[in-house]
Amino acid sequence: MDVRIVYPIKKHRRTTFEILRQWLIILFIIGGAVCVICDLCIPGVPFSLCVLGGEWLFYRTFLHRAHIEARFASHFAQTVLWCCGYLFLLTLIFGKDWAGFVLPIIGFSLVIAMGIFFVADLFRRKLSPLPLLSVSAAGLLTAVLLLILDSFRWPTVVLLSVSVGMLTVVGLFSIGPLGRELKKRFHR
Amino acid sequence: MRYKQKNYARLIRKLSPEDRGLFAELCERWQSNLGMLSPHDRRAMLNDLKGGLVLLCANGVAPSEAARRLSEHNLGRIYSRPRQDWYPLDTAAKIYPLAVSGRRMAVFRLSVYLKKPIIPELLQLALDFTLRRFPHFATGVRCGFYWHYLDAVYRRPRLRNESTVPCQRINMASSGAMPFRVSFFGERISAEFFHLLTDGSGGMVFLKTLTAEYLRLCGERITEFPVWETPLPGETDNDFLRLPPASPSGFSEKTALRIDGRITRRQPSRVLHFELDADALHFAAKARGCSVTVFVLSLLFMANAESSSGEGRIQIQVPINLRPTVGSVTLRNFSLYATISVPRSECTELSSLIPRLAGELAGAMGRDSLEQNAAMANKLVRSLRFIPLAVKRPVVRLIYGQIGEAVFSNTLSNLGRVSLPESMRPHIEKFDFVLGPSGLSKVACGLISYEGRAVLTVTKATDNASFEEALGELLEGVGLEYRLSGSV
Repeated sequence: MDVRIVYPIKKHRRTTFEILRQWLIILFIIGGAVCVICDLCIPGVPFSLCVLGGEWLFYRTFLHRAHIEARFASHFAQTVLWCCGYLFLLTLIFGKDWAGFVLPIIGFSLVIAMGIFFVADLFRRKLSPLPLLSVSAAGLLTAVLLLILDSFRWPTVVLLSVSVGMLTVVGLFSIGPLGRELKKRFHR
Repeated sequence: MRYKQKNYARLIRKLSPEDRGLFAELCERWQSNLGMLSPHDRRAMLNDLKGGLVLLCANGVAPSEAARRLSEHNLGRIYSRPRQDWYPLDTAAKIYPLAVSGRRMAVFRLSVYLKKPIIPELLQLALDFTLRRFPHFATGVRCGFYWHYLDAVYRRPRLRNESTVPCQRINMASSGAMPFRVSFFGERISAEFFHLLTDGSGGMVFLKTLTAEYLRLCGERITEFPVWETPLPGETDNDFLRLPPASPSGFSEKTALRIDGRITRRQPSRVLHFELDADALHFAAKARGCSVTVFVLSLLFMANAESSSGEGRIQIQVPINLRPTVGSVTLRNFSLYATISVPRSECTELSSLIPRLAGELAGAMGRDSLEQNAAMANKLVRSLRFIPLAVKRPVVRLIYGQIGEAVFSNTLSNLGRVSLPESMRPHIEKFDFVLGPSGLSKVACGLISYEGRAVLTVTKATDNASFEEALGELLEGVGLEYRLSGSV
């Protein structure tokens, strides 16, 4: 068939990232499966959970491609929350009591980072306060739970105060847009 | 950008003090109308203005006339004020963001070919201005707890120089990404839309307005499709809810037979335009006592039968515009798919196929059938409304291929005859309409006609060329001459 070409000619090439991503996913699947099999054969600490958790964390942080709404702030917050989950998993596996200390430190660092991100472009970000609100609320809840269930430590108190502070910031600047934002997010 | 600024500085040096003051004032007024944009976008938009002024003055337009054409009034308030508007997705659109995956995104493209090469600087300005008329296009897709929705974004829409085949994925993940893109190539202006934003009819209104604005900036006297017009009430309505309640039915087709060939990694693998004489096509259809849609549909059934092997049913989806049924003016999705199904073994003769297809299509386009299908879609949405998005998304992505894509062999979307005002006609050569590839289906066809020229576009997702060869032979067989153009 005689076709007159009316579109730019460009060869389809996969990027290095796409190739690397594909090979890493294959490697992770094989590695994870091998670890699970070894773990089932050898009694003791279930180390395959650490491997699987680590692979998942790496995948979510570097390889996962969200197709809809993957803004930097929410990706950053999600990554930190996955890190917290992974740390919690490690504590469960190895039975050490350091998660109660480390988690609030990560938590208040995240809340502060989100707060800086919010204030840096206050004029526009005050219109969508939900990322900061949800991270601060989660921080507050975690701090309260840790104070009730765990011992009294300084990172927990810092997390509590920073979270309350950020909720106040949201209340001061974004109380109007907040109602609208919640209506949007929860519409049916 | 630096190049544009240098040229602007050179222009300013040549101007009289009054004109210099006029341009400085214009830049200031633009600046005050871009308050909601990021500093980067604000700079880029001011450079659009300066580039436009340089170009118009270089083409002999008087500075006062250039300033009038590029007045800040064209921007409206879309970039200057916090916007309260947001839009829940319409009934048909709800599925599209849920079904998006690495290789699947429902994108379509409408293109207009002008008689002169495109001037990118003016087209960029036309695009900046056109968004004012369509605020619901200046949005981004957001994830709600139950459904996605469209939320206002404050971004300069970026014009692209076309660099690849049509209907590539639109990046919806990054901050401020809009669900459409506009590009140019030679004399062609193309607008590609993620289907969740609008359908072919809505997209055509956008493209006509953009083209009219571009021509106005080029100095043509065009009063139709003004960007300063207020959006009509009802343009953003979900009109599926306006249809009278009916007993729900539909969505129960069986797996369809598809053409042979492996799906390629690159999507679409090829786009081909069969350019036909619209009058000859019309007469060929009338001579067989059917509509153009039925006639082309019968050719597609025959081409499908020739390019597939094995037994089964060939099922072609035909979108039906619902706007005329309720007098709708919405620019959102308002169409439903009718599936026309014929066993492959019975696709042998046009003469026997045409009456059968005409009957099936008339039945599917009947008001009762449409209302039942719409009721089914509404019921589906209602029944899923309490399920969180995080649960819905993976499930829909998993089953969409089986219930959404496996049930049809290909799609034929006929946008019909494009009508344009008298003032625009001398500048427009033709239109074309490209449907994006959709997962398992290896062919999608779009038909559009303008001023005696009909363009049947075939979008391929496989390297197997048997379908287009069969279609070409069939067209020749019924006495229709065509010119073929497309991608490599």
